[in-house]
Amino acid sequence: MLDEAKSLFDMVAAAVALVRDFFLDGYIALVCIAITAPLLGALLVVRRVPLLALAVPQFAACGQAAIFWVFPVFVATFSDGVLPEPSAFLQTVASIAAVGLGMLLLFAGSARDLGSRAAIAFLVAIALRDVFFLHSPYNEVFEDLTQRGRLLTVDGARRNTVAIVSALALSFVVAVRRRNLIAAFDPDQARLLGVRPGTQRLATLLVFGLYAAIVVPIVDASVVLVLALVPPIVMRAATPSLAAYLPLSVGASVVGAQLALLFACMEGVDWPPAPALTIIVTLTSLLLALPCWLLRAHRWRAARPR
Amino acid sequence: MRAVQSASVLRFEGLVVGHGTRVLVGPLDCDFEPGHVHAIVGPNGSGKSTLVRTAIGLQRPLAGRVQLGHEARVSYVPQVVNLDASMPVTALEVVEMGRPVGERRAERRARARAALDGVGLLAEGRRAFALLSGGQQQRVLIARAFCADANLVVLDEATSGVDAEASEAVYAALRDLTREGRTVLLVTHEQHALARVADRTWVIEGAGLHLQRAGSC
Repeated sequence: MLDEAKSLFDMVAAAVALVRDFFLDGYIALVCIAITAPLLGALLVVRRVPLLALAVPQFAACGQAAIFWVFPVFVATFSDGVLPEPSAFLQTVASIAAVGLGMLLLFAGSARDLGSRAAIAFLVAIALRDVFFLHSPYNEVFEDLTQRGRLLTVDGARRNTVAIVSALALSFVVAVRRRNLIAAFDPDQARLLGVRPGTQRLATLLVFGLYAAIVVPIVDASVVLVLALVPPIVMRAATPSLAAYLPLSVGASVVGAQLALLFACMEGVDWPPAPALTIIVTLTSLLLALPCWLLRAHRWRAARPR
Repeated sequence: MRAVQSASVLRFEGLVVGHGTRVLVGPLDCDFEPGHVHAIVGPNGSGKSTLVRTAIGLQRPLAGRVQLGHEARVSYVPQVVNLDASMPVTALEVVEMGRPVGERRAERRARARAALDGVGLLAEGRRAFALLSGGQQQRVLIARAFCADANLVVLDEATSGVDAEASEAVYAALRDLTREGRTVLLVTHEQHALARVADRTWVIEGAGLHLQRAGSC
């Protein structure tokens, strides 16, 4: 038993050393996203537009794939048998354009069907991304994205981009958090306080769209999707208060993200980072939610009239 | 909607309310004096809730205009069914929502606790709003309206589902508000409420609004 524990400890220590020595930029980018994505996601979840949070990062991934398809047709040429990739800037521009176009199309129809349209748009964006990549000469990039994600290849410049965007997103959340939560619970009360619920929701969506458009080409859509949606959705059902909701969502996200990266770097486990993130963040959220559910059930039983 | 300088806290000028092209009430021309409890009664579907929602700017009038008194601050107690009760929010946090958005948290919380105490629910402050009974949820919303420092308090069927004892506490609190010079607009179909608390009773008949009873209780 002691030997097994020591062996596990050695594996974790080796994984930590691997992250520290080779993937520190990816780790920092992941922690930044693990803090900010659930905050933005929580605002979308309480405003009842979680399907938009699902669709928007996928638009960004679709835009990124589109530039990989277009770039060799119009710009890049083989040099010494190597075809250069589109620059990070071009990928970001394509991603922003795709998010903008996707959101314009989503908001063109009735607000009542917005969720349904977002679900369809999510599926179409995945399909388009597959088609773009399969018809581009960058098949290995596509395989790398779908099988491993890009967390382990984040460099210093991209880490800084993620950190800056995350800091701006965090400032936005701090500024609009209370307005959005009041508007979600009681739009009439929000209006009486001078808050416009529709404007708040639109601003949150635009910021999330911009955030996803910049971050997704760096770390892949699955990272943003999982961290923005899973912890806020699980914690929404578990926590009794707004004061606990956002911190617990961020807590589940940060703990789960770090565990996932450790799993990905652990010898003998070696899970691909993106799928590891999905599974471990979900498990972590459920584990953190469990005591909250039990406490709620206990309080409910205690308060029930006999 | 615009502010008026007169003694009237709320004035309707040719006001017509309804949904889409369907007129429910109007045209109306009337004044609501400050410092009284004004009850609005009428049959189901007559437009009581639509009228008060239009009066406080939550809905656009079909025609005419609403004039609110100078520096009017409005609080509103909606029917619970209009809220997202599945939100992770405690009773105390709901009451805090009555306070201005930019207010410091400590001050907001102190005011909310006092208001919750006023409706006898301070002990339930940390419980999830969704786990409270319908009557308790309604009392929490009433506490939120009282906590807002409003000079026009609008209650839409606020004591329906609230037990007799709690209703009495609410009526007493409404009387206290009017003694402070504030105005209460109460949509109700409860005769008991009318008898206990209303100074003015306005009745919706057809498309008109008629002052049926005036005088202090």
